[in-house]
Amino acid sequence: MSNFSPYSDHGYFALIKEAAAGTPLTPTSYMGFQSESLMPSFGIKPIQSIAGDRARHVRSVPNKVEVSGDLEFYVEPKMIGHFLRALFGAPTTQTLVASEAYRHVFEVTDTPRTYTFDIQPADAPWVHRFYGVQVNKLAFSQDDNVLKCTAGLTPRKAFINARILTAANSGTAVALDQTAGLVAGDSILIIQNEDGYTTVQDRVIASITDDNNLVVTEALNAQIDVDDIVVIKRATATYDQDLELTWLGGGAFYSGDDVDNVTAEDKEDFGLEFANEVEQRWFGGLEESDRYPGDVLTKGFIGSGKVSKFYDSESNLDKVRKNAKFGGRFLFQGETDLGVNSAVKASNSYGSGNGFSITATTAGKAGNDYNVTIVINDSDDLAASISGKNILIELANTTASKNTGTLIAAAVNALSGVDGAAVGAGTDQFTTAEANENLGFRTPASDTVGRDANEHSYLQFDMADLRLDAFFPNESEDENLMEEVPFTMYKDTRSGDQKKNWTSRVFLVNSVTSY
Amino acid sequence: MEDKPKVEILTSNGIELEKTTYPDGKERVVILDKPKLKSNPKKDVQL
Repeated sequence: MSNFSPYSDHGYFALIKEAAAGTPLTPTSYMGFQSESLMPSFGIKPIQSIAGDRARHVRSVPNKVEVSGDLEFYVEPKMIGHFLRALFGAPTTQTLVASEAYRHVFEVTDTPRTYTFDIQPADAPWVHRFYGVQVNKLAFSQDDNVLKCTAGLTPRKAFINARILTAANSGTAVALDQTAGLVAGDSILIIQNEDGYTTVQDRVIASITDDNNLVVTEALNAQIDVDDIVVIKRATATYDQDLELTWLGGGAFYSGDDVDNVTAEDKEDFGLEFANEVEQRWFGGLEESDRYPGDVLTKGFIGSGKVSKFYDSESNLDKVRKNAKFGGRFLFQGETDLGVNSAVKASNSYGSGNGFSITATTAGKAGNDYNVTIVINDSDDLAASISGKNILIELANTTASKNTGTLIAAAVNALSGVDGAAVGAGTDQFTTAEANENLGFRTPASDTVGRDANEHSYLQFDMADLRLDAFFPNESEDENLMEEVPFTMYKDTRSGDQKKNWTSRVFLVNSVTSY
Repeated sequence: MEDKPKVEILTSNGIELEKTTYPDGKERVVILDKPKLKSNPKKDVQL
C-alpha cells in the first residue's frame, strides 16, 4: 500500500515573482502544466586513489548541485505573462479599461526577473521548492492545435528537504542542515527518517534564525530525532486561468516589408523560441546550500523560429538567397471577452500641452500599427508623409516657427488613415528629431492604445527584422513538397530613420493588472 | 493605372499645403510658405 497516490495529476505547480533575485517567497499563483523535468543533480565526487587496492571507488564527497530542467504547459493569456516577464524583464503595462483590460508590452531588457516555484510531486503532502529561477528559454509550438510552451528553467537554489540536526520534543527552536529556501510563514512537516513519510510535527515557521536554525510559531509536542526530514507542506491550490490559446481558429502568422505593415500568410505549422543564455556560478561556502549556484549570470538573447507549409512559391527561397529583411508577427486570439466596450482609436500626443496629436482615423487594435518618426528636413520646409502605416514628419531645418504644433497637425491631418490636431494653443515649436514609435506607445502612461470593440485577450509576438536561415524544399517520392522555413530574429537597425531598434516585442492583453 | 505622382493644393486644419500622392500609395505633404494657387482663395487671406 502506498503512502500517497503517485498519480501525477494530483500535483501542482505554483509560482511567485521575487522582489529580490534569489530571495525566496512563498508561491501564491497556481497553473496547470503538462510535464516538468526540473532536476537538482546532487553531485558526488568519488575519491579515486592509489591506495593498495584495485577498487577505484574508495570514498566519495558531496560535489556541487546543478539545477535545471524544463516545464511544459499549455499557454493561456494570464499565467504566460509571468514567464515572459522572467525571460524579457518587467513589461510596460498600460490600462486599456480600468479593472477590465490591460496591455503588457515585453521587450528585451538587461534585467530578467527571477521566480520562486513550488512543485508538488503527485499527491505527496509536501512540495519541492526552486528559487532564484531564471527562465532561459520559451519555446512555443502547437500540440494538437493547443499553443504549448516549453520553458527552460535555471534555478539558483532549491529546497528539496533538510535533516534535523538536534533532537527535541518541546520549545519552538528547530535545528536543521538547510534553511535556505524556507520563508517565514511557510508550513513545514517534520517526517520520520525511517519511512520518509510519517508526519511527526506540522508547524508554521515564525522566523529563520540562520542557515541551520529556525523558530516555529507553536511549540513542539512530539519527539523529533536527528536525521528526521523537514519538508515544505503543500498548500491548497486554486486556479485563475483563462482558456488555452489555439492555432487553427485562434492563431495566425503575418509578414510584410516591416512589422507594422504585415498581412496574414497561410502557414500550416510554426515554432517560436526566445532564449537567454545563462551561466550558473558557484562560490565557496560552509553551508549545505553553498553546493548550489551562488548566482546565475544572464548572457545573450536570441530569438528564432520556423514556419512551414507545402511548397507553392519561390518567395522564401528568394528571401533566403538574398538575406532579405522582413517583419513578422504571430497573433493568438483568446476566447475571453475583456468586457463590453466600444472600439478605441490609437493616439499619441506630442509637446508640452500646446503641441499636436496624431490619431488613427479608424478605431481598433490595427491603429496601434501606425508609427511615427520625426527627422530634420534637408530644407526649411515642414513636411509629413505616410507609406503604409509608417509616418515620417520632417521638421523645417532652420525656422522653428515653421514647426509649430498647429502646422504639424495640419500636415499630418492631410495624410490618409490618421488625423492630426493641435493640442491646446498648438504653439509649441518642435526642433528635435525623434526615434520611431508606434501610436499608443510613445508615452505609454498617457498615450491611447487602440482596441477593438468587445476585445478579447490576445498574445502577439512582433519581430522587427526577420532573416531566413538555410532551407530547401527537397523532394521525396509520393510526398507533397514541404517548406520548413527557419528564421532568426535580428535587431532592426537597417530601416533608416524608421528603424525599430528592437528585436521583438510581445504584447499581452488580458485582465491581469500587473506582472 | 496612373503612373505619375498626383499633386494637389489643399487646406488642412485651415492651413494650405501641397499634397503629393505617389502611385504606390505613399503620400507626402509639405506646408506652403505662401499659397501657390489662387484658385481657391481663403476668406482670411489678406492680400
